[in-house]
Amino acid sequence: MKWDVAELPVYAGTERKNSLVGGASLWVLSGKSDAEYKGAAAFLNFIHDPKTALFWSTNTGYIPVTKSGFDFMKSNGFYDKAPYKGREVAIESLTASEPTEITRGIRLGNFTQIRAEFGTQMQAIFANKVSVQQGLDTLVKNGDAILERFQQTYPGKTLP
Amino acid sequence: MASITIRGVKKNYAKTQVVHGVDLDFASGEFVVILGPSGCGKSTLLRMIAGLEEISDGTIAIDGTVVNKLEPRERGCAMVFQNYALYPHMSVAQNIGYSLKVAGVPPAERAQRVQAVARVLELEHLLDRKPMALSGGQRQRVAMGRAMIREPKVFLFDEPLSNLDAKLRVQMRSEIRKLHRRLNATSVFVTHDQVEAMTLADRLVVMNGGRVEQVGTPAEVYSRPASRFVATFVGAPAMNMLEGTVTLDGLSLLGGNRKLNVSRTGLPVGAKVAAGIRPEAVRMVAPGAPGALAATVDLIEELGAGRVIYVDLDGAPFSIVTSETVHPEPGSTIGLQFAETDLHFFSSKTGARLDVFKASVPEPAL
Amino acid sequence: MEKRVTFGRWTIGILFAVPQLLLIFTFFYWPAGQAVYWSLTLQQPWGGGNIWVGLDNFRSILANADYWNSITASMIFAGISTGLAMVIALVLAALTDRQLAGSWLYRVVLIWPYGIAAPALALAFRFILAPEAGFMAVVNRVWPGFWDPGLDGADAMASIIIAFSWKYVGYNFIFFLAAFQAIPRSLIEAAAMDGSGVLRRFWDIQFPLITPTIFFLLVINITESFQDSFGIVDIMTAGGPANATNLMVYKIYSDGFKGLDYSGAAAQSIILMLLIVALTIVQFRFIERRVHYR
Repeated sequence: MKWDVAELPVYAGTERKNSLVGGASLWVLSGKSDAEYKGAAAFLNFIHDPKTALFWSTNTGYIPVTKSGFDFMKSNGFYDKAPYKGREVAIESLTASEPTEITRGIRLGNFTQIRAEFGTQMQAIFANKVSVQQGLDTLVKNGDAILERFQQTYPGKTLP
Repeated sequence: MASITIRGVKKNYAKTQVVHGVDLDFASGEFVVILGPSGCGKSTLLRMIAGLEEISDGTIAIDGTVVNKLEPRERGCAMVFQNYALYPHMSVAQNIGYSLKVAGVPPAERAQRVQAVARVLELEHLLDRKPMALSGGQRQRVAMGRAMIREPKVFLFDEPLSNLDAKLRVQMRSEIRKLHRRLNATSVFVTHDQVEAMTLADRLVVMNGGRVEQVGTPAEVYSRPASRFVATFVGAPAMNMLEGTVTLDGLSLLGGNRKLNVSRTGLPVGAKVAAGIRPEAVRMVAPGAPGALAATVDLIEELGAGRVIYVDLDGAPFSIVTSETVHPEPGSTIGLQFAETDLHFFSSKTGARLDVFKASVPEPAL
Repeated sequence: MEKRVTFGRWTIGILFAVPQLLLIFTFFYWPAGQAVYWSLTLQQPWGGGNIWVGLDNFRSILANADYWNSITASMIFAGISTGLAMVIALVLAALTDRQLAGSWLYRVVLIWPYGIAAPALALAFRFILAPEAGFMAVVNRVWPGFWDPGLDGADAMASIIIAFSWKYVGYNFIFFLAAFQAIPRSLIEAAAMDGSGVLRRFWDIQFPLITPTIFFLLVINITESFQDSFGIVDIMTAGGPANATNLMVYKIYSDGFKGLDYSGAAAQSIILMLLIVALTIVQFRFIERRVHYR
């Protein structure tokens, strides 16, 4: 058997879209002192430095967070041999197209609950317990309910 | 009604042998009491008859049928246990009727037979009670009822009276005796209590150390004990034993203080012999009376109708039972007299009864 | 005159009781009170405020099909795993009680599973019952698709029931064996003399006499199946597939600590507590009547 890494297939006649980025995120919150923002900026500079990206990916297996980092790693021959060979497919998948309205990432209230609900409905669909349409309908209904609950938790607030 | 034949029966637990080859015959309808100290194997023998213990070697037959491989229920025996072993979650009626229920006797007949047994044992007003709510004597009667209702061929009793107080014990003793007369089933009764044994038995089996020491009627066992063990175990207070040596002209007792002129056929000079005398065969006389032995009084036990006087006879403990109303002071000296014909002789080495002195001892009056 | 040692002043008595009272308050009443308060409010996930909603949390939970599914799953799990753990343990104990050589060994070996933390044993069972390797892979080769806990809800439920029962068989066994051995041997012998065979003796004598133990274990097993199942579910199925093994206690955890819906989780834990209390009362009221205490 010949094993290799490849992007998920798409149906013939459909256009490939970029896949969603996920995982841990770094945030800089408002309302802090200038000195703290300086420190945060220095840290972000450090993190997106191509050399940092190489060190980071080599040691953790995470993808580089910037295109320049990816290019630097590629030119250094990082992806040419095992065990890192094939990992460039992940970058190809993430950058397959310009981010669209539905593939630019998600910011939702009670996101983890919605994600769990997504997983549950997918399992139900794969186990043939419900049809694809039924599963998606239930997912929408339950997702809306979770969002509604989030809205009730923060009454009268609009998120930036 | 059934005879029991026991041939060469042995019992081993792992490497320990507790019954060393027992041969016994119990006649149909007989009331046999197996008497012995605790650990003598008497309960084990009973449980082998019941089928509660495997028989390691030998055979037990009931009515001619060897039962070695039969389950307890197939042997036709009923047993009364020492702690009664009543089913605590069942009423008295259910306890008595359980064997019938197991046998599939219809409820109506069952109730009728339970009633009948309860009437005999005067348990009718207690039928709905649980064993917890009964006195010791009542529990004992329920246990009897449970055994009776099956109309067994053989009744087995495993020290059934030992948990009762003295008064109840005497009462239950006579009730058991009466029941036996009425049912006339072969009964085997195990006890360590010699009074119980003497009063109940048609025939007595005395056991010691996993062996049968003597079989006989209570009177025979009392008057002609087959061994030193039986002599000291049966009878209260125990038979006095005087150690002696065979001499040229008879037997020297008490370190030579007393000589007996007895025939010594077959025994070499110097052989060690024990001479036994029952406390009730000894008379108390004035010290210095002709032929009397002098002894020092240690202790007096008042029994009401009589008294037991414990004395020191040349350093050996000795006891006398007397009905005379004399009260010698402890420490005082008294004289003892007994007939030489009342003496029993045993080999000091083997403990076996020696009939070499038979001439002096008349046959027991039965 | 009765002589008694008494404290001169009631304050001394109170002082002695304070450490214990403090413990109970800190680790039971206070958290329980918080849970009640949270269940009546909507708590913001990262703190910062809450609003009073009365019984709305309970209403929305009880109107949620997923929650009812969770209750059903919990009931099925409790019923089957308790039944399995108790029946297997009862049979093993009854056999051991019949004077098997080396019964002390069973006693030692069988209590071990109870000493294993639920997540550890769940991990072991995850490997043992994995469909792609090991024994179940062999079964799957003979009957393709027979065992697939990743997709089949019933298989997943069976997995966690097996793991949980395995843990409690040992625990129950110890109690059953002790109960059997507490029955005087002469009772069994008396029944044997009365003509009762092995099975008949079991049902007529031994079983009625161990009913207090059976009742005790029933209460413990059912209660524990509602609570101690968490570690097993978390490691083996994480509530899946498609919520098939999302037991009440696991749903509380995933909604509260993963989904950050503290209020909903608090309301669920109040309901779970009430359910366990109600079940225990039912058991004491109706089942205990059939118990023979000696």
